[in-house]
Amino acid sequence: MVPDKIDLLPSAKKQKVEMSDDLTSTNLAPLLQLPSEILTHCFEYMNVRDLTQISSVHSVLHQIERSQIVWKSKCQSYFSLPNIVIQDANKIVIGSGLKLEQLFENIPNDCFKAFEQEDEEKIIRQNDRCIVVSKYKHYGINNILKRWSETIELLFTKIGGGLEQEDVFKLLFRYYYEMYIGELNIDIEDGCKKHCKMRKLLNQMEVYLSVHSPLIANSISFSEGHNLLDSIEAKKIKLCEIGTCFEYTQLYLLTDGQLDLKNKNYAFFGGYGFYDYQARLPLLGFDNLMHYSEMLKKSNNICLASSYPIILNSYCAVLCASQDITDDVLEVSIKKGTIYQMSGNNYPMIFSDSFSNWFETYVNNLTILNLFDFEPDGSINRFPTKNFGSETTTNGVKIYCQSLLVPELSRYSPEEVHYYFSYRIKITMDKNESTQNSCKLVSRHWEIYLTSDVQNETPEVVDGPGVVGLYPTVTPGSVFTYNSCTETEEEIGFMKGYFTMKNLKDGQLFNAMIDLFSIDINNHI
Amino acid sequence: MSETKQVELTSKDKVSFKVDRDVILMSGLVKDMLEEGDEDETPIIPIPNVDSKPLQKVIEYCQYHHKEPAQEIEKPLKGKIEDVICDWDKKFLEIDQSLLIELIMAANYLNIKDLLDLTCAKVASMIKGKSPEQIREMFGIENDFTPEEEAKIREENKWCEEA
Repeated sequence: MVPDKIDLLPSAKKQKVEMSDDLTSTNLAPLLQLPSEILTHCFEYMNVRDLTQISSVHSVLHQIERSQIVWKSKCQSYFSLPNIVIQDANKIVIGSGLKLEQLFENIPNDCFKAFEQEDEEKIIRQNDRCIVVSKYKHYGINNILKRWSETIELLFTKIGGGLEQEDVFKLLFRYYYEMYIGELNIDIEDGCKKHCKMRKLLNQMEVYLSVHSPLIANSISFSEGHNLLDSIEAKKIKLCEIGTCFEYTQLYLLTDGQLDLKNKNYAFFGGYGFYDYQARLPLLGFDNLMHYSEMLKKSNNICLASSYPIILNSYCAVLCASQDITDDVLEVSIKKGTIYQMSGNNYPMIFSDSFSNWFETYVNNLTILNLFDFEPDGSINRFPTKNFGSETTTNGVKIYCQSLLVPELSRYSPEEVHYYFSYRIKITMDKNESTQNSCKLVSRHWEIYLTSDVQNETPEVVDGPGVVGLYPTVTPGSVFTYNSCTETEEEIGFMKGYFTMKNLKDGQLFNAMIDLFSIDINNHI
Repeated sequence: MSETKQVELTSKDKVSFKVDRDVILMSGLVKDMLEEGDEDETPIIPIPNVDSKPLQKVIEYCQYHHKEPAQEIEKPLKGKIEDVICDWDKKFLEIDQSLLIELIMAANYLNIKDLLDLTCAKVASMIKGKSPEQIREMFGIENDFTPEEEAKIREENKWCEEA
């Protein structure tokens, strides 16, 4: 983002006046005779490495390179920082003209509340040194901006001296670089790009959650301001010791995870369950992350001992390999950086080739594709809502079905493959339906195809009274959900069937149909 | 249909160019001047800051791009400029350095943003990956730093090369 108006430096203005029409009238090389605002424009197309190289070529270039305008633009293009205007020697204004693309990797869907705007920008945070402005009404975006501005304000304080000094944005850039990228063994271009991506994905999550489940949004400990500056070096060293990949390191430099999550229903990665099995998937608090990493290192299992935790609790273990893992006896071969989950018999089921892909997929599934529902209490239900399920309506009875692989209950190894699936059935009736359609579930009929070849295979048929021991009544506006499970040796299978319902008015029986839905190992956490 | 309206530009070295009016409207400067003038005749607009050679190039650029607007060039450039521009622009940029600099000045004076972006990005692309010595040689720049000053600047900028 480049500001609309380019303010020339006093020295640059002077140089422009001295410029004559004729390029050959002085001894300076033609390039150096270009007005400083044009050279500044050239610098915008240069990466930071080239910029620092050109700085030692000639004093004219050095002077422009150090200027506020050049590095302000780099702060924005490399770290996606909000607009910062230096008002006078002691005061900065942050946030004016903020664009959603600066905040999010993808603009979260279904968040119009968060994007409502005031007619003009209003002050959302103010003290002696710093004014933060925003045109957004909802606190979701403003929280991000406020926290962000705390860090920026503190860094300006750290720079010291008057804010009018020329290289103040260069120093700000350098602080950002040293905090997040430096010493992590990554190229500056690559590092900044990945850093911004993680920051934007987190913003995307936060704003989406602030609209749909504020309790989850509030349970994430973001690291900005004092909280960041005081701890970032120590955190970086610890993460390096574990050997976490760059994006994962960024996640924990930007947050402390869900520290002290009292109510596990507010897990960042949601949850799923059936009968009395209720798995919750929180974003590990930083302290727990350190603790579990130590525990994993001591494990006798070669996979566990060479991995660090992504999600780890008594239910499931989603891990990332910190090195290549090969074991001929166990027939395991995993590349460094792979994301896998431990099956019920302690064998890795590989889900993704990298943490960044895995994380991005989850964020986009939730915030862009709206693939997961929020329960009435605000928790995220990991049964996918669309694409993977079916939806059928008979006489006003609407039945939704989705399935989910449960790796931790599956037995999966070279000798044995036994997938464990949970499925969720939701039986509803629109509140506008006629009460004439009210009915009660009598019995269930399932046809389970343990194959992808539905046309030619004979299904396994299950008939029985009620569902999970219950005979729910379906009336306009009612919602009944139950979860159950099934086991299969196939990677993909299908289910269909019907519920026999009895109309409450006339006692007539009819079948509420359930269209085919897949049971697919690709439906997983 | 009425005849295509034209404009006559006169370069610094007094060479005249007749150009279609809607072509040269790409120039913010010419556009501003024309709005004040009479539209019925072929107005003569002096361009006293630009020689005929760069002016010829500018007109060439406008003739192509007034109907084919250029794509915005990424900032910073990830690779070479040739990776992100169209074939016509690539061919257009096959010019010597002194003409390139004159073209930048002309684009700036005539206020043609896309051409200024293209030429400035070309300079950035030429510098890409080069050492200070190579940059000096390329642009005929004389080093005006003392060895101490230069060492100090390099030391100050070492942080971003450590990875």
